[in-house]
Amino acid sequence: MKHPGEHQLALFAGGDIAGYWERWRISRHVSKCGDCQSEVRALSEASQQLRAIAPDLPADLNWNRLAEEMTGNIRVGLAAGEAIARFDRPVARRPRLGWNAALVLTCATAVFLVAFWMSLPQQQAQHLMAALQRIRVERIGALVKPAAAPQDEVVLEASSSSLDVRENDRTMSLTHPHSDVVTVSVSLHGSAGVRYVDADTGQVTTNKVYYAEP
Amino acid sequence: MLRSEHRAYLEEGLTFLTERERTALLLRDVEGLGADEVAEQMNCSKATVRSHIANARIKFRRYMERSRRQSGRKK
Repeated sequence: MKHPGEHQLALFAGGDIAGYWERWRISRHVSKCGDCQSEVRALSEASQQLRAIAPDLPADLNWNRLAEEMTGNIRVGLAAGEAIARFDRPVARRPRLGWNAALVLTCATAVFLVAFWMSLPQQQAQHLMAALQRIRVERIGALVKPAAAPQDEVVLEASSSSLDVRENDRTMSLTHPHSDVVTVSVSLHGSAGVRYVDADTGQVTTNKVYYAEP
Repeated sequence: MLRSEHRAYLEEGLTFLTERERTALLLRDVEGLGADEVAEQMNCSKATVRSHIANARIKFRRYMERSRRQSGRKK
């Protein structure tokens, strides 16, 4: 159902629709549509109210002057409303207390942690650090890169094909023939060794390289 | 609302109309002239007069609606 336009309803309310069929069409719609009925009623009431004050209207009413006065009154009203609104507006409360409490709590926690750390025996502190490091590695899920060997440190390395001693950029390798039966051993006390069996002769050879602290 | 207050209130509503809209509305709805008589008085076509009357009624009705809503909010 297509509603008549606002202008059509305004004209219909005062009986000013020009054509017969147009008037009939709008009248038929309005009789069935509650929204349009109330709109027409409101428009008619507005006209009736205007008609009611007609005898009181002075014949020489200067509308332009009246319009200026009304505009002035509206401006004054708006300014007054704004002034009042300024007083009514709730003052935004700064969350000072919350921030202060958070700051105090943070400082107290920091002091407690420092005091706790300083009161710990060195061994326990190291143990704690190691535990924290382990937790960190586990939680992150990544291996912590092993610390790069200092340049002047000696590295002993044994593999199925050679024994290597590396110091700085120099490497000494003790190679041996490839064999199926090779035992490689590396000691934490500064030695690396390899034991292999010669496939042709059955001879067992053991090579071991030691590193002694200078 | 006192009669004088009511009159002032309706007069204020009429100030929101243009001069030609106000003239057309007063001649048609208050004086009760027909659209063709209003057109003759205003020296324009009937279609123009109808347009002025429709605009005036809509503006005036909106003014009353707005005022009613504002006074309802104050209460």
